Amino acid sequence: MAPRSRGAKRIADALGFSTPKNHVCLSCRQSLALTRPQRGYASAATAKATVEAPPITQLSPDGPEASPVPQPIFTIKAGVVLSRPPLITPDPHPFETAYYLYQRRLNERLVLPFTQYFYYKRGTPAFEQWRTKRQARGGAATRDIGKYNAYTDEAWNDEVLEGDETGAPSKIVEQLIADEGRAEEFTGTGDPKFAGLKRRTEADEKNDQRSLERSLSRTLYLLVKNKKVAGQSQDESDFWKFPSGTIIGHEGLKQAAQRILFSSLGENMNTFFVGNHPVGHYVARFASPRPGPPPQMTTETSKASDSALLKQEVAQQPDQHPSLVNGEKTFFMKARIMAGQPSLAASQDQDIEDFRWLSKDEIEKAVHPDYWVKVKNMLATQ
Amino acid sequence: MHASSIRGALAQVFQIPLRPTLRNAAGQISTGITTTTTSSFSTSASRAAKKGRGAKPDQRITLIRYFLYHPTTLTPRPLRFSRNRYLRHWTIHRAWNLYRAKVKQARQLELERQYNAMHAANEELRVGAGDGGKLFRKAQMKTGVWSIPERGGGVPIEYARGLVEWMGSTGGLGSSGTGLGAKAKIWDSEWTRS
Amino acid sequence: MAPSRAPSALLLHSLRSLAIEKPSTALAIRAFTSASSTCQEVQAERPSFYRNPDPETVYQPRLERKLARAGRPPIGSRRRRMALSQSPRIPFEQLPYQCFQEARKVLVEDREEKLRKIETERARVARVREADPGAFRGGEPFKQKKLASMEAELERLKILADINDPSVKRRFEDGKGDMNKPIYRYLAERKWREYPRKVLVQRITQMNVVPDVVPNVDPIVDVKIAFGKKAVGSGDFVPSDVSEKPCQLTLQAFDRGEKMVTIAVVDPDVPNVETDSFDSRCHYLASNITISPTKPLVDLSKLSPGSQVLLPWLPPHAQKGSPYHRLSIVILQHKDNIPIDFEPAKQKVERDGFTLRSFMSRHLLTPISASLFRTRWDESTAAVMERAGLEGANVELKRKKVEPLPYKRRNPSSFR
Repeated sequence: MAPRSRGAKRIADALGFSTPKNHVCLSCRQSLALTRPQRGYASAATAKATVEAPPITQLSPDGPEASPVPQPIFTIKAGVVLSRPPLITPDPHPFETAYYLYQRRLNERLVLPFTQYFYYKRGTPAFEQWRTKRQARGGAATRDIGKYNAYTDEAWNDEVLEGDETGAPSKIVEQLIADEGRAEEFTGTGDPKFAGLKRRTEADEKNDQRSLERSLSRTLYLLVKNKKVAGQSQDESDFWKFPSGTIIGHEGLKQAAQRILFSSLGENMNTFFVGNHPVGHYVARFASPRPGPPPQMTTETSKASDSALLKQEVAQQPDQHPSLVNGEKTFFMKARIMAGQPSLAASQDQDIEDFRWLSKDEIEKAVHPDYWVKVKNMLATQ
Repeated sequence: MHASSIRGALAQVFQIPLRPTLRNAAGQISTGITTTTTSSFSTSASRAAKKGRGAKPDQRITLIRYFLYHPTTLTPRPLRFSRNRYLRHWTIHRAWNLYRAKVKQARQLELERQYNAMHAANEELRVGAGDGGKLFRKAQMKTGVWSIPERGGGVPIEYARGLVEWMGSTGGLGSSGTGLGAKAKIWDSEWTRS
Repeated sequence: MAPSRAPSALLLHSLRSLAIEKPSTALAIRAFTSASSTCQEVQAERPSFYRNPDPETVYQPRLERKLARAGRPPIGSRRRRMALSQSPRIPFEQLPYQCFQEARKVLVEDREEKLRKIETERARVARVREADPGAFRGGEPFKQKKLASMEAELERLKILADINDPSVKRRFEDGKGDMNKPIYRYLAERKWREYPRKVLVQRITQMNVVPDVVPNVDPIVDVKIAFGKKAVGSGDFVPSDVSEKPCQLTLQAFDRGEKMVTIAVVDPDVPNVETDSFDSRCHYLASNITISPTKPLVDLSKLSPGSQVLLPWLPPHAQKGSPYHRLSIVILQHKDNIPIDFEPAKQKVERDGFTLRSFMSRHLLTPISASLFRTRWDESTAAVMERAGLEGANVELKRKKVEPLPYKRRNPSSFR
């Protein structure tokens, strides 16, 4: 048991929770203990948060009226960090490119000569082709080191000068394709010089941030801009956010995240939720308390069961429902998209104004600075 | 460079005398005439002598022997650097080590940041959600995490898509108008949940 | 395959030849010009060069002779000088090789980062130094400890900033490193610890200097012994006539600052016939010697007799028949680098029967290094002893014949 949870247990014991509530499991007991005030090292907001209206799972044993100070109340929301993993390798650093060429040429100086007669029979067309191409390369068997032959008097001079393009991957691919001479079979709509191979797409050129074919070497994250709701400040609706929404009924974070994603951006996405636990969180405290979001039911089944509970709760705490909330806590679930694309037209809720696929450094410019500080640590740089 | 001169140069490099058998064998290849294949599995001179023919071992065997058994006394070929060249090499080597170390460290730090963000979120969910840790316990359920996709869990097969250096325009299937290559695309945006 | 931009053979040949650290400006400017302009410039320079040839680049025999007559002999081989005179003299850092330049970019960036770190660390050290010791929980000792660890970190950063510089490496390999700078001290120590220190430790432990003369020693100072121009390795036999005059020591320290040391040369192998054992004798003792990484040379004959030399040099000598004598050289550091009181120490010290341990405990000294050389009877020992006014040169020590016990006799009388 970790020291801090041991401390929490001791607090729980001191407060007299342990003996009468032995049937309650340890983690419940701790969180019960923690809902009580005066926890030295945790922040007040952390210790005193209670969930507001829509989740009915209000377990506070002593109730807000028992504590002397009014506790801040937070709405619990689930967010989705939907990412598209990189599809191509990262762009090489110029030093990497130069170093690999340098090492290839050093290797050429060290290896035994290529045994051409073992692989090509003399007098065959393949041999003649090989021989002419080898001659064009200056006698080197390797095709990716440029014009360099380690068996001549100039063999010492294996370093390329500055500004030389020999080691650039695009150059090497271009030469290999020209060597092969079958470019037009594969070119399609692309550049015949590269046989249609590309690292930048049309989406890159147009900077189409809705497209998933942009920035192939980076992880892209789905960000949305919500439609303006009455009672929301200007700058809150101006900034981009990860898709998020309130938890409804008895659902867990993962189910809530899935529901939110599909109801707001359509179902035509092949996604995979990585794990059941959140990878990051964001706590927003409102400048002034606002009314909590109205309880909403999504499915028929949950409506039936929840309404009963709701009634019960309202009966228990009539003055708390509906009440003001001091902030919201968003827990982000990590998910990956495998195929498909979000669409605003297929959305059920119609609460999204726009969406974008952005990489980490683009997110920094698009979101609110406070939001960025909270979410940046869970995002991948590459 | 002509082939025979290459071989001559190689022979000089490796200090191999060009054997007459090899010359004969090479000559045979160049003319493209294979005189006989009857004794291809026997290279013994005595047998050939009994039959009254010249000792001609199979050229392929000779070639295989020649090219597979390079003299190993001179390998690896000596790599000699002048002082300046050595210092340049040393500089490059040090810079590469430094560069790799920095890349590794950056990766490590990123993983650490992500782990810490996850830890903080779970801790917040445990103590700060105000529901007695109910959401936290639900989030910690590992049911189905290592299951197979057909049973509603596990890791989908699409995860096996590897990184590539270049994206093709035709998916390697040809570019003809109605072929498979015409449909090749980087991202399947038209995917629908059936 | 399309040919890459091939550099011209002339340029490559010129690059191949040696680049010099300090190029003459006129030559450095015409780095990448065509051959014709080079010729013109050479022609323009010619008269001045003939009148005033450079010993670095002269290669005509006539001019070489002229220089040699003028007392400035040409430097290096003629082939090297010729190559130098025909090279474009691009500084090493600017050689236009792609991978090299990319590597330098990485290294320069890293160095800048390290320099920034050094600046912040310096500011932190200054802040702690200014701070009132009462502000720390441990008071003044805690502050000193904190300062020491921060200084060590600063030194480490200084080393890291320079360790990847090829010019530093070149200068160190040429022996031109400035021992005031942390990087050269670090490189010198690394080189010393790689092999010479291992040899030194092996010698002083195998020849039992460590338990016999000093209780223990962890060498942190390199000791090199030389008699005149003759260098002596640790543990070598030195002829008596060579060691008649005091030796010169090179005490190379590798950490910053000066050290106040005492040098003792002790011979623990003086045979004592009465007790049938060996005595110890001090051949040389000098205190209050200051060494630093930049001033490692200590000439034992040139130390001041009035304030440093406690016991002057007694030539090492071994009587005929005695086993070899180990002349152990022990370097002892003073506590807090405070000089010891010379006069009382001089009155107290005795040459014969000298024990280094009691001297160490009396003056609070710590051994920081040790070395030794050996001496034995040779042809010149008698003359050396006579010149030094020592007696006993005519005595030959012999092993006492030990009568074997009767049952161990080879050929006892009972066998006959």
